[in-house]
Amino acid sequence: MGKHLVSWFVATTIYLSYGVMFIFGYVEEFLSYIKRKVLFFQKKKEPTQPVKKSKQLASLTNSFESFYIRKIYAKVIDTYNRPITTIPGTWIVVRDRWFSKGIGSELEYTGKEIKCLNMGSYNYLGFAKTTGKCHMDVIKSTDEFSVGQCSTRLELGTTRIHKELEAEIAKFVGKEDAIIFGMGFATNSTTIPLMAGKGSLIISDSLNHASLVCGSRLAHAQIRVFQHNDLRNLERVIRDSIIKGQPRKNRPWKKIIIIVEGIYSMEGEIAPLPEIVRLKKKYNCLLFVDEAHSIGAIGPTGRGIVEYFGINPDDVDILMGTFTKSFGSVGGYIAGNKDFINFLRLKSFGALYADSMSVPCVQQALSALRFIMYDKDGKKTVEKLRENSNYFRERLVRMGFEVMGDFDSPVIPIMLYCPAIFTTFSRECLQRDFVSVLPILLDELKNALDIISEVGDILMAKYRKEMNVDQQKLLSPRKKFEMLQNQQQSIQIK
Amino acid sequence: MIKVGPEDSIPQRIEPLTNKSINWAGDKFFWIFYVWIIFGFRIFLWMIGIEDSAAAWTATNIVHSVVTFFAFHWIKGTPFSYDQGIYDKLTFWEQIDCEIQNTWTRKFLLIIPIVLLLITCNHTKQNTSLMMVNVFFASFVIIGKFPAMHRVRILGINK
Repeated sequence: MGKHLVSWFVATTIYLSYGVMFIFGYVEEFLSYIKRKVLFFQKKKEPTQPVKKSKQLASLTNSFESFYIRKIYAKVIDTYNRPITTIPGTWIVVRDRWFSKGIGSELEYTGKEIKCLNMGSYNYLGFAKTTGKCHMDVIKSTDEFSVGQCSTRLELGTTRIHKELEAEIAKFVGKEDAIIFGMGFATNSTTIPLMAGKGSLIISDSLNHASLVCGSRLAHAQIRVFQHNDLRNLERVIRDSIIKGQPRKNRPWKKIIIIVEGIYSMEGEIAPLPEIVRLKKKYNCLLFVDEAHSIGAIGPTGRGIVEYFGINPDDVDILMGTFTKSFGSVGGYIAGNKDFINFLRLKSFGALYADSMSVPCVQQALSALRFIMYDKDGKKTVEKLRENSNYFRERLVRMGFEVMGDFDSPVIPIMLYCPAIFTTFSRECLQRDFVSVLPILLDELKNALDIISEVGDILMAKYRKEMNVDQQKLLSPRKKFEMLQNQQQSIQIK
Repeated sequence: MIKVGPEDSIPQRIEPLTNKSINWAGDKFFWIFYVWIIFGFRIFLWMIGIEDSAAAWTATNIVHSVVTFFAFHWIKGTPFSYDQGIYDKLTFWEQIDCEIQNTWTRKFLLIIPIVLLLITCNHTKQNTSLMMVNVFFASFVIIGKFPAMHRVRILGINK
């Protein structure tokens, strides 16, 4: 609970609300269990057809495993996965749903369609639209190459456009070569097993994305976890692993790979990359950075976290990213040195067995990338994103909300902690035509902030209102790093 | 990975806990909430109008024992399925701190029912049968928390 301190009253009510939810869930389960036994005892027919003992199948989940989904998630499911009927631009149209027979039952459409301000999609730079140059390029490429290549990359699936995108993205991030895959999740889960074989060690952040965890579990390497963004803990874990060696026979590790993310999608925090690079060089490890949310979104020209901190791209061994967030397409890429990428081209399951990325998607990513790299407005779009995010974040912090994440990050989570509060927040905001990711106009931002402030007052969700705004918190990681460097330089001069 | 020091030091973990069903048990806020809720229940009984302190403390002790026995020592596994069932045979108490014994969290959660039992015995000094009832109920939760009872299922109940 380290940095997220709330007052005693709020903490007590939050624990109490979780306790009450669990107690009510258990009481409901117990009563339904008794009801089934009573029905059986009275030999009444059960609602479902009884199955002969010989044909009974094993149950998919046991009753406690699905407790959270059945008892807690099912009651608030209307705030998740809201269906929309337009492109995920600034304004979206949401189809309203409500429970058909009381809270906890199936959802049905009420017929209403609500136009809302969109603050919840990953469309950071606004490339998801149906007009403009990217769109015309995509249509032209579909006319030339058709939608699917009907083949894997290694057989007949590589077109001129795939090669162009690979060359451009390698140039963009500053590496020798790159390879693209049709699915962002599959990029991680098919590449990490090849990188980390038997006898190696993967040290990953505790809050890494599911694709990184999936890839790490598929690999035959050992996995160790370090506390999120905690460098002292990372150093301890590295030292402990090197000292102890492999399990059982304590042989030295073949290689140690540190896996971190550029921007964490749920916390909005930026990884402290300069210190991680220093640790990596000190202990001779490899570094894998997953830039799914940070490519195209941070850095002066949008080249990601490596440019943001001013690090030499050669210091980071493998750079991974996706085209889903800032480029309006699908798929992912891995950038590294030529030998490694050639190895992946021949051996990766994503290249050997999966179909190649669909050409319109490749063209969309390519056009968006070229816009950011070469167009005169490319740099301005990235700067606009940063200004909007920082303005929004600063206003929210000054309002008294508990905002997680760092400045300069486009992901801005507000911690509401209590399950009752965050679902009510979502429903109240929908009533005020506001769905919580990226408006481009400042008036819409101010509107959004007023709505959030109003709902926050109603729900008493401004946990930090009495506490002073911590000046340290208003600095971005880049500024903190520069201050640290200045201090070190002044100490050296003395 | 565990940092183990000299014989009488308390084991601590270097790695963070990833099991979301028990990683909140080490928070100091949770400890304070736990103590608060027990006293809150006692105060609630006082507010209803139960004057007899022996009966009120006995009620608190029994409710605490039943609820914590069910929550810590009966329910097995985690309430979500993404763990893929690795903790399916372990109760909540056994999962705490990845099965390492004698950590601070375990010591605190062991002391609470003992202290509650002592307070209750102090108030029911005159009434021996009520004291026996108290000791009976509290013994379930206290004995269940001993390190020797780790992964022990008496008579195969709740295997």
